[in-house]
Amino acid sequence: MQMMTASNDDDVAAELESLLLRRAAGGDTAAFATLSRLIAGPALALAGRVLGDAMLAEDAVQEALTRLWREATRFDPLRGSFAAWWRRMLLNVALDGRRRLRAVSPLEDAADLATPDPGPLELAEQAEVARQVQSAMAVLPPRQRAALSLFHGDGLSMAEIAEALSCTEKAVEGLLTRGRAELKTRLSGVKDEQ
Amino acid sequence: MIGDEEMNRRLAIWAQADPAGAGGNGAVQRMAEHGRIVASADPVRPLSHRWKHMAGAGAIAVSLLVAFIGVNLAQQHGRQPTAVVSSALPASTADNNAALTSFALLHVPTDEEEEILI
Repeated sequence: MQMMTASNDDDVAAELESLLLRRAAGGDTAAFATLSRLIAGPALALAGRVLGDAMLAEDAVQEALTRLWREATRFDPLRGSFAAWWRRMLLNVALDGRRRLRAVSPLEDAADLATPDPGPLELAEQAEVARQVQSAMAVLPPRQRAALSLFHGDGLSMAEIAEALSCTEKAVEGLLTRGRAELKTRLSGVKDEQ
Repeated sequence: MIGDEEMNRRLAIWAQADPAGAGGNGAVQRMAEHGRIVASADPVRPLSHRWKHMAGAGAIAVSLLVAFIGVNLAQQHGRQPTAVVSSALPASTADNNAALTSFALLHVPTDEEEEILI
């Protein structure tokens, strides 16, 4: 029942986004501002996971929003959902060669970092794990990072990831397998050192 | 070496944690504001690509039609279609004769040609 409700919520959200985009394509600036507010959170989270830096993520989302406004009339609902179209646009910007992943602190340093957020032990442990994974992610090629982010972060299927990255499902499998193998090696190294 | 289950657990934590700190309320507000500014500052958006392609195809069709009509008119009036073929060609019969004269003055006849002339 809960799943049905979540699915209905997703459908309503998708319908609302499509409606706002259609109005934006007609020149409705207020509709575009509302759409920007709706999609900004998930877009920032995805860009943050792919780029590993808040400022780079904001920069990428801003550029993608500008592109979205300029190309709003190109969206064709018969060829796919708005979410998939927007995701591909955002990833194209985020994976642009000019926007390199920020050099984060080495993995060994991340393991030694003190948790800045006070709170229960579990939260502290989770924050540390997240930082370690993020540091390990920094050495992966951008497309592997994006595939892992879409699979584990957004819960997309192979087909949806393939569409977002403009490649085949087989290629997505390869990206995920190689990315996970590299992460395992690097994170095991940290575990062993600890 | 970390196992698959442990790897999945860590990736799930990473995916939920927003370690880059990119999805805060402040950032969402800034993006919404950016969307409003972009839409207000750039009210006249460029034509969609479909319309651009149609306009381009139309311009080419009109150019070809004008060229075709120009050639036909030129042929009817005995003039070289200069605008269509090449600007280097003579523009009229008079120009054509002048060009032939120039060629005759510059041309050195071969032995065979001189025998024919004699």
